[in-house]
Amino acid sequence: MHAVAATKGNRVSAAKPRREATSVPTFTHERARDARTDTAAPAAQTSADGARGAAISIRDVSKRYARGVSALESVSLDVRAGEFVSVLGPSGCGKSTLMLIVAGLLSCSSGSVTVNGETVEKPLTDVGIVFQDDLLLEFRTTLDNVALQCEVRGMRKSEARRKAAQALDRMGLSSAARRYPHELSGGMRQRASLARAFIHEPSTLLMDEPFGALDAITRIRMQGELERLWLDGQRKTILFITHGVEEAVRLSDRVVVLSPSPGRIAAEFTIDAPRPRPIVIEDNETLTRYSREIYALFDRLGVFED
Amino acid sequence: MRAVATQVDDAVSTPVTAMPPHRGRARRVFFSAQTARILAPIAGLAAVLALLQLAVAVFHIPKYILPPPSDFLPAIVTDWNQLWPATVVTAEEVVYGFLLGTVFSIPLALVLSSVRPIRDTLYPLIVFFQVIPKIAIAPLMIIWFGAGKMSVTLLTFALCFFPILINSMAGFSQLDPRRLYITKSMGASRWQTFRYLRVQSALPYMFAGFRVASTLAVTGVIVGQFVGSAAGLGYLLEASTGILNTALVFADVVVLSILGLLVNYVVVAAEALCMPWQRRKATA
Repeated sequence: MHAVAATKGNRVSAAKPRREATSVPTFTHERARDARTDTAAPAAQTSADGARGAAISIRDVSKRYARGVSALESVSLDVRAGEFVSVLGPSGCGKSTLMLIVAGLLSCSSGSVTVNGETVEKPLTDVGIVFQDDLLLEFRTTLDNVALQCEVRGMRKSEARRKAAQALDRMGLSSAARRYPHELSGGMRQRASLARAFIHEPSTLLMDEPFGALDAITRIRMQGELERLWLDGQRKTILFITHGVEEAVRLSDRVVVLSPSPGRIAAEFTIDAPRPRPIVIEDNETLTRYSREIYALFDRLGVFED
Repeated sequence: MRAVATQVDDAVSTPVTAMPPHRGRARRVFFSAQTARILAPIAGLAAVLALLQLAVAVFHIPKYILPPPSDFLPAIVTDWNQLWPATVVTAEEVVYGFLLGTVFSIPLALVLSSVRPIRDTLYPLIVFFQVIPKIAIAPLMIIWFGAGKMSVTLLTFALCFFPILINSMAGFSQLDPRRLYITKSMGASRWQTFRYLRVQSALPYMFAGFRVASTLAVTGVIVGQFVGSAAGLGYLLEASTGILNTALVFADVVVLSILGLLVNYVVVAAEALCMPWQRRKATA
């Protein structure tokens, strides 16, 4: 099982990073999937036996849809507890599929996923999920949308509402509490959906392009907000799906790049930079070098060709 | 536009703000826009009645063909002792038929939309029954249940049943599967998913059905009373036609229209009550 994965994982040859100033953190970049275990990056100390110690452990997961369309091919990935990992790839590389499989909302054709030591067979519940669409319920006020998470989990309605009001307050959304989703801006709606994903303090957050539908400025603001939320509380394990290179670099401890369809892990980058990260990464030499590397990899993978 | 204005202003050396903001500023306003919106249809109705009155007088139309408003409007008052009991019976039958339709079709819609084998078995039958013109079964009702309230109510039920059923089914089956991702990840049970998500998602569809059914209910009751009843506005309509009391026919129709409006209003009010988010959407 491991041997097969190794040959696939090493498919993309890694260009060695340039080291410029001594102050610049070391790149542990483009470690082919299996090399990871011996490269011993400080940020990725996954043991060779994989699942143990990892909060999310994805083992040789493949997904084939009907008519033989293959979305994912033998993807293996470990995410440590409290780690922020982005899965980055072009549209249609199966990254959303991967997230649904981890969430237990979609079955995989082969392979297995364990989350916090338990094999995922039914929908995960110790989890907060955010999609590109806020998926707020139009018939509930913003407050009740957030409170729903607690209500379904058995909290009394009044208690759930009180807690939701606090959560909205933290997100700067108090004024929107009594309004319906269609009365809010896109940014406010997505912030409410973040509040809904955080309110029950899940161990794991799964986010599928949560800021993809927002305008550029709101997106950058929301990235900062997410980082702040994550740093403030007990650090949750985050699996973040995106096609934004800068977004992935800015937010993640580790960026996993998927190749175009069928999705395979092409490379991994450990983003070694202090937090909180700068709002705009353009001025930050460390972070921009990562994004340049990733763009170069995209180029080699043929992402920009037709 | 602006440049021109500035030029003019420069020429006469008056500040821009001195120009009237609206052209119609000098016009006197008698009503506020809201009052006007209420008064306009009333004025329209009054104009039609006046025209009718005039036409009858000018063309010497006999009263039994077209009674002037001065005849049939007072008839509403003078024949009230006939009209009122008829209205009560009619309203009862409308409400019973409608409620019966609702009580049967919504649970059935739920079952049909959630249990595949039952849907596959029953749905073709339902489609078959739906294409039968329901009015055509009115005589059958008389044979089975005799003339009277029962037949009329059941005919009305048959008319209301399908629009509510079909719309509710659409409502229960139209659900963005990604919304289920959210409730599943909350660990929602089947009942919770139904209670927190499915019912509200289906409501707009149900109300579309209710609106259609409410109009059909009034029609159903009238036709039912034509065919086999000795009470109600439909019966009174037929009886007064028989004795060429055309003024009473007209009075009857006026009362019927008011009843229809009322039924419609109740549905609209219930809709606003059950779906407050929709109400705000309309004003937003």
